[in-house]
Amino acid sequence: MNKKTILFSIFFLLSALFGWSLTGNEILKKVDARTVGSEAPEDVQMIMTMKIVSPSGSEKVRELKTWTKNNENEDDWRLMKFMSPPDVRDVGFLTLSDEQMYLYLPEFHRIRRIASHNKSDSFMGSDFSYEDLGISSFEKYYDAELIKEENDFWLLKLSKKPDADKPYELIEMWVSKESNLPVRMKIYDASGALSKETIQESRPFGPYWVPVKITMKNIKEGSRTELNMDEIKTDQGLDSEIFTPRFLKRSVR
Amino acid sequence: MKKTVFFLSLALLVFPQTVKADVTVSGQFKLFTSLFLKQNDTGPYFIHDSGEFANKRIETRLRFSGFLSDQISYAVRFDSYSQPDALFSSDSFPESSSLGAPTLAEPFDFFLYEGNIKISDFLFHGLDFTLGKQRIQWGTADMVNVVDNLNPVDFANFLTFDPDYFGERRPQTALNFEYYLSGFTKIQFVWLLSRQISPLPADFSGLVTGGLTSSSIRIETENKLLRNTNFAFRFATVLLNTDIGVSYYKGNYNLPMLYGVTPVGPAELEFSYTYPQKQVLGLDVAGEVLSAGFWAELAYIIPEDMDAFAYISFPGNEPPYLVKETFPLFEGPYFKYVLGLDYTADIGTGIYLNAQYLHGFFDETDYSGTAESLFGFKKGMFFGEIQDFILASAEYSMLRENLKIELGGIVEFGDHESAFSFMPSLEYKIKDAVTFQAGGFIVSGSENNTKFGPFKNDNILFFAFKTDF
Repeated sequence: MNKKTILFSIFFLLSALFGWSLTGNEILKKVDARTVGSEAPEDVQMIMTMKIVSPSGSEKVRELKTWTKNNENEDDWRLMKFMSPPDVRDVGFLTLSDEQMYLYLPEFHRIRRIASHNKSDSFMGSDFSYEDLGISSFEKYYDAELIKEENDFWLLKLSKKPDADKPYELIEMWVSKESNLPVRMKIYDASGALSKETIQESRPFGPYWVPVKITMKNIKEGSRTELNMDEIKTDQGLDSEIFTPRFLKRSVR
Repeated sequence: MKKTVFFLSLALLVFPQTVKADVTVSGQFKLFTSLFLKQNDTGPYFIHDSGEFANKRIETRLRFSGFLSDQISYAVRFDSYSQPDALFSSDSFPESSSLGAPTLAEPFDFFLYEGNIKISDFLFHGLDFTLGKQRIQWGTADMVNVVDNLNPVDFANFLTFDPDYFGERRPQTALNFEYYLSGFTKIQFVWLLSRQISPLPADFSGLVTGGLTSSSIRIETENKLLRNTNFAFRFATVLLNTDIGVSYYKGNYNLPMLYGVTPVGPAELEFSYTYPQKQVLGLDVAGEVLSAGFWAELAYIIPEDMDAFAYISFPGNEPPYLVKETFPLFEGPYFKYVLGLDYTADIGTGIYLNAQYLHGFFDETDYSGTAESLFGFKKGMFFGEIQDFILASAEYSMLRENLKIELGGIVEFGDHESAFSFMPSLEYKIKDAVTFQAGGFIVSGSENNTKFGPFKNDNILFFAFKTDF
């Protein structure tokens, strides 16, 4: 545990003892600690099944292998490689920061850089955008206000900071008091309309909490995409070299 | 047939071994059909009725890939083409087959598209070594890589107007060493074990004869000697959040060049072609500006000093008195470049926009003034002088990206003449890995002194059905 974590823990303990109520930004810090901070795994490897369900109910299933590395005080890195279906096999997506994302298209043997304005594009026909699949701190880009506190969760209202380069203006986030992770989010676009909704299930995994299922509903289109995570492995000491164009081009075993 | 038997034997030999290790079998089945929308009795490239089939063929790809160990992977791909109604015949350009074209004149072809082994951390950590026939990524532009001289453009299929072959390049047999100094900094050395030659379409002698009427064509190729192999270096890194590559290539032009015209009889001329040497210094960058993606490539091409020749006749004598004149084919070094931008406009589910400014198409060269006047090289012709183009497209996806509409176009700027090629396309994903595509190649503008203008008398409509497995 580093100093920051110890101070936070003391603060939260005292808060509980004396009934101090947490502010929205303090709760958001807890979320960040669990997702990208000191309480998140050093690295995660998993098999992800992506099920895309159209408004008419037809389904498409994609299987991916993903590797994530948690970097303290920096954006996390993530590499995703498609394993099926055949027409997207070996397509790869590498996120190093909000400004540095790469897509590998094996058909053209080409690594394409994703410009920040293209980050809100749909990721391979799913309801997730490239941006949604990146991993970054909420606190860095949003101010949080505590709207409601229940026995099991806090409800936060996240407003985009004035200079933040993010597509979502406003997020309503339900945070589990047990896991300190979001369980539900309502995402609003620049016009103030409800754009997407996510439902997230997380489970304890050793000393961590890890999301095992995320459902993203596209409110406007009536479709949804489910991500199911399996074969989760944490803290394997993944080499930084995995998160490079060199590995992005490689086939998955 | 011998070739087919050889490749089948190879596959049967390799396959049982790979099954023991690790093998992924994948491939594609494709039916491509195109029609001429206009009647054309005058050419210059095609003569046909309106509604006549331009192309009907089946393509299949079969790829075996996998790992022999943690460090060693392999990939072998066989392609086949069936073309029951051949568009071109080899009658007027038999040399095309010797250029390794996918023999459009033949009803069927089967060949090894790629076959390579990749060894990661070869000899020491960070060094990847790929050996065999392979497609090497070189440059950052979208399809029109002016710095890429390693992988010759598939010119034979380019003129089928199948969008899959627009700017498509062919894998080459090479030793490819990539040494990663860090995650984003690498030094690459490629030794190409033969000359790089673009396959040419059959019956297209008119394209390579510089607008002159030929009687016979002689193509000079070099001996397969060690000294006639090519090589290239590239250094790539990320600087100020921009991908940067600096490269050097020493090798040959991928397309044959006219360097001599010889009278061989009354009203008969022999055209001599060769693949001259060149060096290319390349710079490529890709990054982001004002939240739009950008890329650029600059190639500084240094051709070899090469003499061309032609016979000048002096009128008044009978038979005409001919004098051989020798002159440089090239003036000196010259540039080719491309600048590109892409951006997604927030309209509907987002319209993806892509635009590139290109100075120098893959077949264009900067010839000397004498070569221009004696051989008829000019802007706006295949194998002609360098000219400028704008390539742009707008792409809109609907129905969960199952339906994609693309409006593409090429504007070319010749000498006081211009032409616009409109390339609309509609792609529908019937199921995962099953796609239907329909589109066209519609040309307007001047048909004189433009590269694509003459196709306005043809206009193509195509359909493609693809299944991946």
